[in-house]
Amino acid sequence: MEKVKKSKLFKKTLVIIIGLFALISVVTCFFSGTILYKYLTDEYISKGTTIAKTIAETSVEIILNHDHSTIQSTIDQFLEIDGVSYLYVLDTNNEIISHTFTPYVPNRLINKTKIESTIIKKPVDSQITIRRIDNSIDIEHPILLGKLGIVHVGMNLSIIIEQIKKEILRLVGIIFIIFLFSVYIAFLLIKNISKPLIDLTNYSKLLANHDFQKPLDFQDKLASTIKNQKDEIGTLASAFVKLEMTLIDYIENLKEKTKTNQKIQSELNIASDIQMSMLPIASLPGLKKNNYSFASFIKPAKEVGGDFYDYYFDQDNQKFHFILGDVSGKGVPAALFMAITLTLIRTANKTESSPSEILNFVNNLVCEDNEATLFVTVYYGVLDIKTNKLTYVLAGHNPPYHITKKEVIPLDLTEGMALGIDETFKYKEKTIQLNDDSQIFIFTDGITEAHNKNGKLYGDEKLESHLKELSIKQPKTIIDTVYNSVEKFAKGRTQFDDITMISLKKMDPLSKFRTMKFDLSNNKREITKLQQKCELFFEKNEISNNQSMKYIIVLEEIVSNIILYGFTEIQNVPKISIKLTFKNKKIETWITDNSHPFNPFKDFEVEDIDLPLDEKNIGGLGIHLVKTIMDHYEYSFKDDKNIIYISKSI
Amino acid sequence: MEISYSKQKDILIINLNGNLDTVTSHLLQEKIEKIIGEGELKLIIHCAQLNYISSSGLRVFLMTLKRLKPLKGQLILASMKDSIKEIFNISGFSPLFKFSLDIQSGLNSFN
Repeated sequence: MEKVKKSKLFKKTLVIIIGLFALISVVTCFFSGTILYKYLTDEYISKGTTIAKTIAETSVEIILNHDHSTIQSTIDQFLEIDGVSYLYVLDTNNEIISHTFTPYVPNRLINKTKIESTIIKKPVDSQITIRRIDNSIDIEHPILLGKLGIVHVGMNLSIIIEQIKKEILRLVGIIFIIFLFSVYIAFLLIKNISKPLIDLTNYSKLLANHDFQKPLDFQDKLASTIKNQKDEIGTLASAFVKLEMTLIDYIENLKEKTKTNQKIQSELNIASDIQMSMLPIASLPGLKKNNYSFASFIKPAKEVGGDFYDYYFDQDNQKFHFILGDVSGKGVPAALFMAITLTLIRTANKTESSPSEILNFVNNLVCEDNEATLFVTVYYGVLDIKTNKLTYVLAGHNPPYHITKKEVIPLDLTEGMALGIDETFKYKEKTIQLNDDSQIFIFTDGITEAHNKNGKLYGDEKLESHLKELSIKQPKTIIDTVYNSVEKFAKGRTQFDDITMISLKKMDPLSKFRTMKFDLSNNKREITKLQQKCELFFEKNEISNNQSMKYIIVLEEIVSNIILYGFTEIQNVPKISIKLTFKNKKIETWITDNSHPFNPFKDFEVEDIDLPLDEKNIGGLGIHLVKTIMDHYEYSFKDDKNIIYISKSI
Repeated sequence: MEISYSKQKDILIINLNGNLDTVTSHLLQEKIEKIIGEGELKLIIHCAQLNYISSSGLRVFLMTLKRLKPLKGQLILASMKDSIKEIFNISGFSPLFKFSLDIQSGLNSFN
């Protein structure tokens, strides 16, 4: 009940009803008041006229007889009639003959003043004049055409107004009763409408926090609404209940599905682990010893994928097999096919050593019972460690890149089709010679066909330009950089296809000695370490003792200068870093230290070597040696560090 | 750096073996100052086994020369390797010193 009273709907309806009734009351009262007033006035006028006429006609003789008391009694009789307020008779001199005024005659009659009055109605009888004087209607009738005097009858208007007031009050009373009744009806109606609505609101609030394990108890409350109300509200209520039941079913269903999915997911994770564990992880000391560097990478698009790589070092024949494959399709079917192919390859390369023979064998077996009509593209390469010759077959696989310092070019195709299509196919192989600092980069199309948000492909060009930039880098660096680039390119998209890369590099045997880095502390004894490190560096780079000694002298001069004159205001842990490189017959060195800014080339005066012995200044000699021996020297202060750069061509 | 001595009449032969650098040159400097202090004024420094010299080594030779000059002493650098001689040339020290091919010719050049 309280709720209904508070209901906004009810308040609104109440306001409308009050407004409506107020309007009806005003209009009704106005019209009925006006009509009543007119009717009563007419009634009074006709009554007054009749009275005036009667008096005028009956009083002719009496006046002629000057029987004023008879006139008085006559008019007194009429005063009894309802609505008559006064009567008086005037003679021809406008003197009052008789009247009914009590207790006194109005002044206007005594003083015979002409009064302001309005003629309110044109009477039927032309002799009569009807005026409105104060609260009365004055009806004037001449006696014997005015020859004997005039009769005035005053009808009391305030009686009429009283009457109207009473009528209106009654009317308003009736309307008010109807109003109360209407409010009650509205209240009942709204209660009927808003109760189920309030219930529905509460129900929906409960639904929002519901866990949908079982139906809410609140449903029972709505049951009667649904049953009894066959209108829109009933429909809405039943829709709500249906929604709840559907959600309960749906959530139950979802739980089931999630359970199943979790199970599948965990099985897939295990499958993924198994698949990954099939791929080799062994390190390759035999390869490293012979100045080769190798790296591999795989990232399936789903838990399991159809890409694979394999490698093994055939110690007996000094041959390195490295293989990359891509099964058509994705997911579990591709993964199973991948496992078969990988196993067959491993079986084959225990007995066969030529890539074409191995693939002939594998293809033959893969084609048997290949009802799923899957196929697999394969790169198979065998490197002869002794001759540095790479023999390879491309079975339908996109050509790997041959990266040298100068260029990045795709390997020639070997006209081979993918495995699993034609069991009679005979694979051909090709051979290329690998030189120092050249690299073979093999990949699957998961790289070049990676999409970005706009649906654009990563493409061969982008890959090639990356490989060009990275041409001197190690296989691992190249693979990592390419993967990062693809990942960045395809950001926001789920991985389109499995991504797999392997790369083999023939290293320059001396390359590991081309650069040397080491640190020294600010101790004079570190000079010995400097000499030893540099001697090793120059020896490995086959630089003559004479050249080497002069270069070491220069380094000693610079470093001892730093040790003796730098670090006078020690703030950091003193550290002197040396980097030596030998490239294109040029030795370059960067000596970096974290002491205060100190430019030895400027802060020491160059020794004047022509001065006589006594005047020779001992300081500055070292710097003189640096400047004389080196082709180039340079000082800079960057990032709070002194950097001295020196270089000399040999 | 190994330093050893031998004496031929009044001439002291100082035999150097190793590197004369920032770390080792003060050893030679101390030894020579001591020798001169003891009155040795005719010195031959035998450099056949001297493999390396930096400016601090050069300074020791220059110091020796400066010490001997007022005492009318003499210093001869014997059997110096070409690579070390080149450093003397580069540093402009060569005109200041007397060099001899070997110890014998060094001994002979003393009056």
